[in-house]
Amino acid sequence: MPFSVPDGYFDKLQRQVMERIDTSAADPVPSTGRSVTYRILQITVAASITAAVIMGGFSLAGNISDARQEERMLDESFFYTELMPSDTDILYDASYGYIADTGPSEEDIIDYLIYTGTPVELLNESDYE
Amino acid sequence: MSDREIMRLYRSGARERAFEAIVSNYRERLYWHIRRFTCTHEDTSDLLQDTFTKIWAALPSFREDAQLFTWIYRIATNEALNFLRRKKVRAMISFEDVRSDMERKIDSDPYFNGDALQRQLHKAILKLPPKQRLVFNLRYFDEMKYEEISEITGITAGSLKASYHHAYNKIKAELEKIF
Repeated sequence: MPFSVPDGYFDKLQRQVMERIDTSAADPVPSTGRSVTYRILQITVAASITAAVIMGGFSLAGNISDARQEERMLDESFFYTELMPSDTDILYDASYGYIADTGPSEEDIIDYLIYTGTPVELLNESDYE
Repeated sequence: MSDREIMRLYRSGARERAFEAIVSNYRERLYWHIRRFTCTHEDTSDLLQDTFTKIWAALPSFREDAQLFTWIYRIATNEALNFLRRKKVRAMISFEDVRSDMERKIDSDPYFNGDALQRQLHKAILKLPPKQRLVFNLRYFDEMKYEEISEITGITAGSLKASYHHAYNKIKAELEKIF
């Protein structure tokens, strides 16, 4: 091979790996094959679906013209208004700034694309050779 | 220590000793296998450590219906392909060119001590799609049989032969442009 490695690399590697597994797990746990990121994604997707259902419910309700329904909806919207936090603290975190302004990071996007198995070729057709 | 002896040791309860033998037996082979994908020593070193950590974590679920050798190579290959995938997605987002970036890495790699032909060969390999690159590396450098590569990749031997043939012709054409 035209490549080389630093002197003593493989001996050092052996030690590093053994130290790493000593500290990470005394007893290995069978891998479930699902990473923490994957679980976070699952929760995010579930939360998005729930939010979509709720928003859909509001939207559907808005189309009902019946006066009685409207009146009831007004009552209900009041009820929901009561549930909504009036405090702006939920949108603001002193350490992070406005939460609403922080979109998914580049790493989040990359992790999402990798764990959903999105073919890279779909992102850029010209790259497909 | 053979793979069979390692697994016997592992099953007897001496798990750390068995794993130590795995690292000792496979560290160099896996290093070069991964390095042909990543090009740089630093990336290879990180991926290799991740690979061994995954092997350690997955050993209890290794059912021994495959050879230890192919199972280990499969984990390392997945790590390497995921690395390429991650790199490609990141490049797509930041509008970088992965190939030029990796070619630059070969040119500036202090641990590359090959001649001009070897440098061009590795640059030509970088131009191959991942599957062809994988088959070419395992066949050309590791001199593995198609049946062994098939066990690692889950691709039929016939398809592997076709991929190798395409890869070989592409590399030959690239090198003929220069030399």
